[in-house]
Amino acid sequence: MQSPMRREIREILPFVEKPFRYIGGEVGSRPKNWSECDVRVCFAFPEVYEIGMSHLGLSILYNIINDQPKMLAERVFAPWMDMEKILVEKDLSLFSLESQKFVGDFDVLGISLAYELTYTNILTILKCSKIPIYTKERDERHPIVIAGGPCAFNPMPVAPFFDAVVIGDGEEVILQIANIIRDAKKDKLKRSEILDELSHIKGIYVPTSSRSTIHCSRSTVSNLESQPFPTFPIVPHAATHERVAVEVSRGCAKGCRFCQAGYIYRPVRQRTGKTVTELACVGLNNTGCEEFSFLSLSIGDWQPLENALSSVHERSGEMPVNASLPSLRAESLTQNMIDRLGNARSGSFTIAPEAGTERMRRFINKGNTDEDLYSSVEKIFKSGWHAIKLYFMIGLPSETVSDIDGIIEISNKCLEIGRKYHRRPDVTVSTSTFVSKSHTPFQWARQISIEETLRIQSDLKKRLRRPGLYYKWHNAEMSFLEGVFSRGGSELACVIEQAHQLGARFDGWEEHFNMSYWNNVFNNLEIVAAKYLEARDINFIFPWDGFSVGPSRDFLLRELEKAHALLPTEDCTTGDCTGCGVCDFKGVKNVIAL
Amino acid sequence: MGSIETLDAIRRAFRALGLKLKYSEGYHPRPKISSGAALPVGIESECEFVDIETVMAIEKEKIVNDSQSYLPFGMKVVSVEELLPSAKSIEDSISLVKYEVGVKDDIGVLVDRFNCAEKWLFTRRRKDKEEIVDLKYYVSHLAILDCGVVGVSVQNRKPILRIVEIVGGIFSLSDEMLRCAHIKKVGVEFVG
Repeated sequence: MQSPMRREIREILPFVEKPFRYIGGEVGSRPKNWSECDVRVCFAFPEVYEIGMSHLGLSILYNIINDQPKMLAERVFAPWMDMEKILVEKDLSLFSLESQKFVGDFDVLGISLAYELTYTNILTILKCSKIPIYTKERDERHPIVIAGGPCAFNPMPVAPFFDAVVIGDGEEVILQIANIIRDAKKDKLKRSEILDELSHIKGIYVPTSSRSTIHCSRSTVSNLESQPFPTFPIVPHAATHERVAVEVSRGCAKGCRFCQAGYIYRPVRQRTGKTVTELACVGLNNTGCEEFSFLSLSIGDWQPLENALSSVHERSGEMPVNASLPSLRAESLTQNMIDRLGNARSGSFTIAPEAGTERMRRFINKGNTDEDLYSSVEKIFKSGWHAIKLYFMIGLPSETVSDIDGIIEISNKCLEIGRKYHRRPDVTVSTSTFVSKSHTPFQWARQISIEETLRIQSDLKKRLRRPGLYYKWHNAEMSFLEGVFSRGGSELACVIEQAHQLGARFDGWEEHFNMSYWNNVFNNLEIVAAKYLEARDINFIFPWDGFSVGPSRDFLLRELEKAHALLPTEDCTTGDCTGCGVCDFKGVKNVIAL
Repeated sequence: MGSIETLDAIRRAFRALGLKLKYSEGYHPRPKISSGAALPVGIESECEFVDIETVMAIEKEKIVNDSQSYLPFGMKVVSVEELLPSAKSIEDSISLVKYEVGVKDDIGVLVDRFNCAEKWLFTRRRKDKEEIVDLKYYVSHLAILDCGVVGVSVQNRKPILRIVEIVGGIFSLSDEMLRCAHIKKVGVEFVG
């Protein structure tokens, strides 16, 4: 039962924007009796509520803990700046949504490391919760602060802020952590003893432990089909997307060489069509949502896709439902998929060619041809869609002027195709700057500078200026900072701390991002940030090299050589093993749904 | 929650209950759900009304009894009535709205003064436009209910005035004080 609101929180809500961010009580939320639970976990997403509520990982872990009779999980999100200000003025602690308990009163605070530009929000959560930001400053009064998520694969820039970092899948590890905490409370273990216990779990890195100093392997669930998945997800009061999201598969073996997710989430583990259909239908029935989404890194490769889309539509009967899929690979798009997806008369269809030329697509192992792309665009416009979105990257290794010319050519050609079917089609071209990520073949590659990015964007803006063509670009300075953290080490923790002190907040929001904070700190600390973007020698020791968490270094180097030779690497789910080193072929291997 | 979030919550709840809602035609089909004047964020209400068009017969008791599981905490369906297709919209049907307002303690004098006044002028501000209105034209009843709590009955008249404007205008409350005031909508009266 949701607790009535605390008086001191009720009094501040009239003074903040969008108070629904802080009230909890949503359909699907699971407040439990505080005093009846032995373990209390607070899951935090370092973004504002309506963005954080779309995060599936939080929903999965939240339900896993709350399914345990004597454990509870609650949520907290980064307070918006007006709320942070009031909390500080009134000396009030940040509170959870379900019970409005102060975050510092929980046993565990689990924070998602979803994106590098949320790092300052992590410090906001800690400070507003009155938890010392550095692990070395915490004592028995404070919760164990744990990180997890994709950026945990190189956690070093924020490692000093965390007592432990979960690297890999969280479903099984979170229960192991909770059980340790339960037993530790019973046995009255000291904080250092708890951390020592945690360091013995596979997939957990404890920065202060001598035991797991940079030698840590990954936690992997062998089969997604058997893993719990929320059937009554929390329906946010407001969210970026109001839809029921079902994780269809985890991992990707397509081997796009720039894509970190494709390497760190291997192997591929798929759910069956029957399970996915059931999860989607039950979720839609329970929540009343009108839209569902199948989440996967490569949804087009999930064989049951078309049948599952049809089944969900059929089972919804006369209640209309819309399907939303992540951007589809051009070569895997079929007419049936297009017909099932959303409402052709509104919204746009997204494809990610990534590169402007076939040469570059071979370099990055994307594999699709111009013909694949145009054939898909033709199908899309012919099916009634008026608008498409094309995603490209700029600054990829080996990029030349002809690759940028290729983006222009593709965009114009897509618009011409659209004009065959509609009087006023729209083609939106979106570019982001390549950021060199850990555990990828391009982790040694250079990232282009802010100036180079701006030059290319300026060129694209001029040349894409045409009725029906729209160009969107990612902020060059934000990409720069992302690149710094992506390959940075623990020396960057004090950079984050000082930028936060200067006022850096919500750096992932362009309207709030302020590079001057960061430049001030880099100058004061005499750090040449641009050095983090430089190409690395193949013998360079990366901050994450001690983690055995992804494909082997040898494999990545081979991929880099193949890139330069424009050689493909096949998908191991349909072909031979590529020797990436992730599978042991016993507990860890591809699991494909038929 | 704002009015959009509230209507979305109701829409989802009714859909989860299996109610087949009627949708509008056109480029962006939307379910036919409408409410009266939007309840401002921060104001409680015991009597909100929502008009919903369905394409099927409804079971009133089922909606009242079962909807709770699908609504956020603090929201509740208290009754369901069928309307004729020719029924007026909610906005046009409501003639008067009653509020309980918790303000500062020493309000007795102001209540008496308001009730005795012939006019009570207030500057209504909208974007770049200002106009002087008479709050007596809107407020049909103002009385102390309890220490620091007044009952206010507001007639549904044009140009529309918000309850916070009326309360602020009668009791000379600043924006900050208005935000702290506890306002609850407790009843409505219908035309005819």
